[in-house]
Amino acid sequence: MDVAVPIGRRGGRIPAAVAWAAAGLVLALAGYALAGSPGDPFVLSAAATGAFSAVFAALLLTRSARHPIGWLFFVIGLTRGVAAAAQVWSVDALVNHPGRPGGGLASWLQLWTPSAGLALAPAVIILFPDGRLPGRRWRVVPALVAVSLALLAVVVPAGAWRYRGPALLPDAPVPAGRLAHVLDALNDTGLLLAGVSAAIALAGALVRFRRAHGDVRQQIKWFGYGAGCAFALNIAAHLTGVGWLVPVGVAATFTGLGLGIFRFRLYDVDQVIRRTLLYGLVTVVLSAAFAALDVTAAVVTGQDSAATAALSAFLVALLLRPVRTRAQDVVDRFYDRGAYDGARLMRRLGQRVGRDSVGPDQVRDALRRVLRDPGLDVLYAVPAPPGQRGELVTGDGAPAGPGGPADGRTSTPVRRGGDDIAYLVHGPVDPGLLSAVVPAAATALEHARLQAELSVQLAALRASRGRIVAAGDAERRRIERDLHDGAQQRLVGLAVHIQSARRQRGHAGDTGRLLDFTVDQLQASLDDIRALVHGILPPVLVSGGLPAALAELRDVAVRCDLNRRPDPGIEATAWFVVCEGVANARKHAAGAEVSVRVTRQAAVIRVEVRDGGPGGARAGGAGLRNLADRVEAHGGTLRLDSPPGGGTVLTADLPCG
Amino acid sequence: MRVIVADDAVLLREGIVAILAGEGYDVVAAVGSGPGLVNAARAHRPDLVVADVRMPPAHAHDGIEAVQAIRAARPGTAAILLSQYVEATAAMDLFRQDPAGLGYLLKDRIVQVNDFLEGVGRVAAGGSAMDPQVVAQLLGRPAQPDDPLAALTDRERDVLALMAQGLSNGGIGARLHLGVRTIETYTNAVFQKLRLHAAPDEHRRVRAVLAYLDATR
Repeated sequence: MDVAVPIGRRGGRIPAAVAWAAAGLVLALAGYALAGSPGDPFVLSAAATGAFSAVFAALLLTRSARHPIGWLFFVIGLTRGVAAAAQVWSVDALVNHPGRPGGGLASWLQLWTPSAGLALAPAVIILFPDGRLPGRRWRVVPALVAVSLALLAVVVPAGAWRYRGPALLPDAPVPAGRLAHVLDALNDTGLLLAGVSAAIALAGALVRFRRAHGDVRQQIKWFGYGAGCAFALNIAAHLTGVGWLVPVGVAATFTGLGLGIFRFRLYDVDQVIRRTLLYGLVTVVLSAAFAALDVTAAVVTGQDSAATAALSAFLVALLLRPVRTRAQDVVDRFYDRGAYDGARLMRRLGQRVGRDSVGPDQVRDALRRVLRDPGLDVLYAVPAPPGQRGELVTGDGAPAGPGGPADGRTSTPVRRGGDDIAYLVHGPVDPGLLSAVVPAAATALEHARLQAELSVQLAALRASRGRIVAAGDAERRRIERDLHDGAQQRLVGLAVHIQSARRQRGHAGDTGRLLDFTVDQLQASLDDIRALVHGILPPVLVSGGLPAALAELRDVAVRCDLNRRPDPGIEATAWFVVCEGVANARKHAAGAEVSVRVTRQAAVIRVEVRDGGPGGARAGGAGLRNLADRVEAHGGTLRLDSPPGGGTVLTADLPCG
Repeated sequence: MRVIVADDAVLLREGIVAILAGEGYDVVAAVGSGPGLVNAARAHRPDLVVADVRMPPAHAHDGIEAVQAIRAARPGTAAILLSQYVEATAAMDLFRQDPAGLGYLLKDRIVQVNDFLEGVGRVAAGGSAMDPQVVAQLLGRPAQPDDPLAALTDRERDVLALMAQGLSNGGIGARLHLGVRTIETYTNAVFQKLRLHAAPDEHRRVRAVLAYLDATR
């Protein structure tokens, strides 16, 4: 039911030939009727519908010989053509030129042939577009069509045959006698049944439309568009008395039908309908405005001049833009409430970005809601740094995986200022909704894209900071190792050798004092190196990790709950936090208890240095600033909490993959 | 007394060998790695081993592991571990197993040859030697709530600290300028407060230190 049935070239040649022959005949009849009675609205309408129906039937049956709609239009076309010609001929033969032959037959034909088309119209409506019913319960429509057709095209014509002649001409009184009155009543009944079945058929088409997706929906829209145009034009013709609007309306109906069946993928029907409604509305409003202004001006000035008309035209021209904007709004709201509301929501979001913090997540969530796709994702196009290819990232700046969207998902680009700024990756979404919402969301998406770009740059910056700190740490470890394994060992060895020589040879006097002095200086150098190395990176931290290094702290209560060693950069940073905190505590809270706590919660290591000192410390010093830089380089945070009189707590949270 | 010296820094190793030889120790081997030390000990059956903590091949605790292996094979082999920096926690595990005849000194200490030789002598005689800097660091930690050491007076803590370095009552008295009797009073008070009663004095001293170390862990 939801699958459009394309009209294939499966047909016999005979039905097509028959249909084209009938179309030729109908065109000839219509031409005769129009030539004979050019001003008659009934003739005009019947000739136009007959001609269009017959040609349409021929086209359809050429492509698909068994298409029920084709055969329906075949019959409608023939009866309409006959009706138009019969009307003209009967009036001609019976009234204008009495004595011409066939007047009686023509009067009989013009009596019932128009009704046959009326009776069949509901069948077209219910069978569109694929020639099948929307469901079993809609079989009532063909049944009603059959009954009304039987009444209008069989029973009434059969009974009326005896009255053929002037009595059957339009506007003639009902002939006397019970049969004539019964026939009249039966005719009315048939017409009533046709009306009822048309109403049911319209309901069926509506149901079909609501159930339909994709192509079938588009097809029905085309049909509805054509019928709507015809309706509007008929009203216009009636109001203005301009007769040729009627065939234009018929043409519109069949254009809609034809596009619906043959070419429904060619144009965006929603766009066409919206445009039509928009310009129709603008025209009506501006015409009314012009008329009102012109009349007012004429009344005020007391004359109807070209000047007042020009003034009115000028004012109306000024109105064009606001009217168009307002009309667009009305049409959008009327035509597709969901799309209108969705587009408005996204536009509002776009207006809010400057004032409130509207992040990529909010924009994505709004789109998910509006497009009714909870799995929708947005990928942002981030411009390339010099020398690199641009890439697609998610809202938080993470690179999108390689390859296109997954099966069943579509990637819709969002353009702004000539560039694709983002892509919506979504499942099946109503195309009308999508085309309304996407442009409206461009501003909000551009803002979100800038935020995503910022995240990308921030991540790059953080990574580079982390690399710099890590390189520094590696350098510290190298220097520590070199000093320990090189200089320190050498100095100790030297001192021991001198001591050994001194003891064995028992140097006295100046030489002995010189040697003692040398050993003392060596010892001092060793102390210097020890202090230096410790400041660079304590060896025990490198070899034994944080618990071992913390265990060497003096006058500090240590609690360290780490089940495994974090990476060296985090370890060193945690150590420096402890050193800074303890050093500050010793400096500003001398004598107070100092405690260090290192704990791991999920993927965060928390380092806490707490003292019971006077508090009131402020994070102004270069030491804390450098430490914060180091902590932030690892993506962590450093906090100093030091209320006056309440002790001081230095806390670092370090993420550890 | 047969001694093996193990250090991968040749200059320092030869210096230690020279000093020990000068003091009359019989240095039977000088090696530069953990496995080398184990092999030399198997061949020479030394009375004392002087070993660097950080040596090839792993440059981690190779010296400690070698000493553990040697003492497991021949209990009673005295050993002095030399460390470049204070890393008490690692050495404490060794002390906890059997502190008798064990020393832990910083390399810098060797420069003060007299202190170094005094420590070597104590360990060779079955005592223990702990670097003062290590002890100072351990003693510097604040007391825990359930710490038996919390009951000690300042003077008793001083005595315990010197005891932890391996000094005898006489040595402690000399350092604190107090008589041996006074020191004995303090050491007994320490033993009592740490609930160390019936044991030979030598072992009690070591266990007092261990109790302290455990408490401050």
